Formats: sequence, structure tokens, C-alpha cells
Amino acid sequence: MTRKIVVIGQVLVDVILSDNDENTYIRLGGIMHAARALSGIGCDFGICYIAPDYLDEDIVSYANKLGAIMVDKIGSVTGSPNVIVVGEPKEYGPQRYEYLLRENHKISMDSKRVVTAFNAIEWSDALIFPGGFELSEILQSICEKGINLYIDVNFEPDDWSVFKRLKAQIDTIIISTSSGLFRRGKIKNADQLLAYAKNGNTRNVLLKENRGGCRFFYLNDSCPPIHIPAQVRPIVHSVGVGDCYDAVFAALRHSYSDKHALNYASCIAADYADTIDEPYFFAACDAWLKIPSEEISDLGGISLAWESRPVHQIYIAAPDFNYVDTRPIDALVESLKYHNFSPRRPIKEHGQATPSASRLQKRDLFNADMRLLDACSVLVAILLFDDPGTLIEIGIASEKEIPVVLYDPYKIAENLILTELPYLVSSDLDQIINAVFDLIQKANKK
Amino acid sequence: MGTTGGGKFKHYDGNRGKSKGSGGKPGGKQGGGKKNECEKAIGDILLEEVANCQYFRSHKNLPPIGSSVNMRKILEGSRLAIETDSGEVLGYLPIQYNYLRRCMEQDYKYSGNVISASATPLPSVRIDLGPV
Repeated sequence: MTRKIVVIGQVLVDVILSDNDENTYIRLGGIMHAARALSGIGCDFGICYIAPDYLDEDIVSYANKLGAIMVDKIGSVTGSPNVIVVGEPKEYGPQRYEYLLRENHKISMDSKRVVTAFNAIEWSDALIFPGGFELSEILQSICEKGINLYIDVNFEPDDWSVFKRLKAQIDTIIISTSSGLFRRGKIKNADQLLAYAKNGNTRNVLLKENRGGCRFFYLNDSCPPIHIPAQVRPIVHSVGVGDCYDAVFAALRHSYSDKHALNYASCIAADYADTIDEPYFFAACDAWLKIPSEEISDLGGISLAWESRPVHQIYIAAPDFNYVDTRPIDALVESLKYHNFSPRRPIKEHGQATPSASRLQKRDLFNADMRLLDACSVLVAILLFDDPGTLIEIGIASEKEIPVVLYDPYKIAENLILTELPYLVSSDLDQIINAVFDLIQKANKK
Repeated sequence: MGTTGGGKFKHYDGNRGKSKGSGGKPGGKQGGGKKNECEKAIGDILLEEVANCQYFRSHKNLPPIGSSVNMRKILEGSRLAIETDSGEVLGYLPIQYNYLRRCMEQDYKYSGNVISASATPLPSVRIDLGPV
């Protein structure tokens, strides 16, 4: 059967803010990210969309330009413009999504369209992004037609028992570590995820682990999970990158093994994150698909399971004192925690030496700091000013062969040893987080 | 009071239905104020695994500063490799440059120069690299 994928869900408007007004941009998001990806790899696709009426003209026109073979509206949004403002598009930490008027958001489904939407074309696969609308009727219609079903549960539903009532199995449930289930700690590791999914009438689970790659689990047989590395590099944005990944994977499974399809998805999603220029992205898709699948799967990257990250602790060397503006330290630590790393702040944990502290008290603090440093796999230093403690800790860590990354938010590092000793010196938090992923992966392999 | 930011959708204005599989080099300028990554020169790349690569193992030394280097199109193991003019692998590119493999598929070729090389305490080489 020829692959024909129907993508189902809301169309949103993404507003990506930037420090530079010239780089602030606005484009159709939601399921249009998956549509762009399918267009990029030349897969026949259609969309069943839900959106406010004011967007209809733009959605239809744009989907047609992308080459959609069907554009069908199955529900309307009222009370909200369906606009998402993204304050931190690179996701080096929490993305700070602002969904405008979300509490007023209402969806009215067109039941007739839901029933008939899947009859017009013989779809091979359906990729659905639940969120704000009633699922059961849509899922039932898809199952009755025998369409292979992929569900991305990143936003909804939290309760997967809804899938149990289906008469057919779901091919793949797709979830990422950015989802509410992971962020709220309801799922903390792969074992908990699989236990959760086994209640859900599902054959496979795809766990996307952000900059740490992904794992693909087979629930119905004893095949080991597949680990796919992430192609990590400085990015422009992370909005819709996971949706792009889903779509490419679902489409390419018709032509390639799961491993190869996932590796192509990883490479193409990385390019999606690197640009908002669509012709550039489409050309990149063409080029990736010309590279043999074996070579794509050989290409290394970052593979770092979510639950393995806190095992290796990260020493935060910085003037983390109560009289210093520590916002850059706080931002770094928040970003590391967002990615499930274990940053350790010695001054916050052991206390701050006061001018009146006794020699014994100072010695105890020093020993505690040094014991902590010995227990850490990476040191991240934050240079807020020329703080002697921070600089000495960089030297000690280097001598102990603990890799050092220097976050220099104010670009003040000039000293030769300071600029040459660390693995990376950068004022860009995105690059610092990438370096931590790389170094922790290396520590994990030792 | 003025307004800033996106006043309209920044969307693809072509027709994918007719132009799928265009291939070739992408345009020179991307949206978002960002240049085509394939056309960017990359400065000061610290090569990886230099001690374990063919050049150092054969010569127990490193090429002098200014020596020209090229990027291999074929992966060496799972890595993008940098070789000397004589074809000996000098080191690997960090994984953040894996996209250059895709650029090579778009007919870009990369070469550059050694800008620093030190055999001790650990063999290390830094290069500048760019499209030719």
C-alpha cells in the first residue's frame, strides 16, 4: 500500500520571540510542523485540522502549497486565537510557552466531518496530536478503517486508559521527556513508561529524550529497545521539532527498518531545528535521503538516556554568595535540572564562609567542597567576575582530569589559561548545555 | 506607540506539490537572519581522537601549522574525518558538525588548515575549515 499519512490535530500560530526584533517570527504551528516535514521528504499527506475560523484561509492556502492531498476542517476553536508565544525557543531550559487565552479556549467538533474525513482517501497511517479535543470518536473512526495509528501524547492525554477501549491496537505511542508526564514526575524512567504504556493497547513506544536521543521500545515481543543518537548542535529553535521527528519516522517506516527510519528522523529533525527557511529545509531533506541508510545509522551523536543523567553529578563552580546577583547561575542550574542532570551548588549546600569563621570551620567547608568535587564527573564554572574560588576550582578540576566547561555570560574571560584550559568557553547557554550532554555521555561510557 | 515583531506569516511561497525532490544546493540566505550553514567557514575546531588516528600513529608527530587538510566524504567508523593532503586521517570532527555530511551530499566540499598542533601533553590539533 502506498504511504499516505493523515495528520490530525490543532493548527496554532507560533510566535517566536527573539532579543532581536528582526528575528522574531510568526508562522503556522501545531500539526503544520508535521505537514512541513512530510512535504520535505516527499510523502503524500493530508490534514484534518481544528482551528479558529480566522485562520482557515491561511491554513488551506499554506497546506496546498506544501502539497497536501487533502485539507479537511474537523473542528473549530472559539474563545482563543490559538496563538502560542514562545519566550525561549531553543529549549536549553523550560521553554516558557504562553498559550494566549487558553482558559477561554473551546473546541466544537464537526461530528459529520470526523466520520467522513477518513473515507475520502485510503490512508496508510494516521498521526494524531491530541490536545483540547475529544479523542474517542476520532480514534474509533481511524480504527474502523484499519489505518495504522501513531499518537503523540506530549500534551494529552495523561490517562492512557482511553486507548484500551479501541478495537484495534495503536502502532506507536510517542512521548518526550518534555511532556507533562515527565515534567510532573509521574513517569521518571523507561520502566515506569513501559508499565504505563502496557495498559494502553499499544505495540510500540517511542521515547524522545531531547538532546539525549530517543529510544524505541517493542511492547509485544522480546526485541531489545533501539537507541538512536541525537544530532546535537547549536539551534535556531526547538518548536515543532519533535512533531517533525514523528512524521518522518512514521513515513519512512514504509521503506526502511525502524532503526534507519529513526536515524533519518533524527538528522532531519536537527535540520528542522536549525532553520525556519522552508526551501532550505526541503533541500536538506532531499540531501539526507540520498545518503544510504546504513551510513545514516552509523553517524554518531549524543545518546544519553533520561534516567542515566543524574548518575553523573555536575559541580557548579561560581561565586554563589548571598551578596552576588546569581541569576546566571540560577538559569544554568534550572536548565541542567530541566534536562534531568544533577547540578551541585557547593556554597548553597555546605554554607558560605563568613569573615569571622574559625580556621576549623573554613577547613570543614573546604573539605566538604573538595569531597563534592571528587564525586562529580564534570565541572561547570560560571564567570561572573574574577572570583578566586571559581578560578582555583577550575585549576583543581583540570588537574584531577575532571572536564571543565566555562559559562562566561558577560564575555570577560581573557586570561590565556582560563580560555585554553576548559573543554568549552561560551556565553551561550545553549552551547553550554550541549557540551554537558557530550561530556556526561563520555563519562557514561567510561 | 509602535509595534514590532511578526506582522504577517513568514511562509513558504512555492508549490511543493509540483517541486518535490528539488535537491541540489539550497539558497544562500536563510530566514531568521541566519546564513546557510553549509556555506559557513568554521574556525578553531579542536579535532577529536587525534592520538588514535592514522597520522599520529604513523608519524608519532603532527603536521606543521599551515598544513592543508580536507574533510572525507566517506565516514571513518561512525565519524566525519579530517585528513591531510596525503590522505592520512588526522582526527575526527566533533559530532556537532555531523550536518556537514549532508552538505557534502549537496555538493559542498570542505578543506582548511592546521592552526595549532601539539604532540604533548596529549596530541591535539586545531583547524580552520570552510567550503571550497
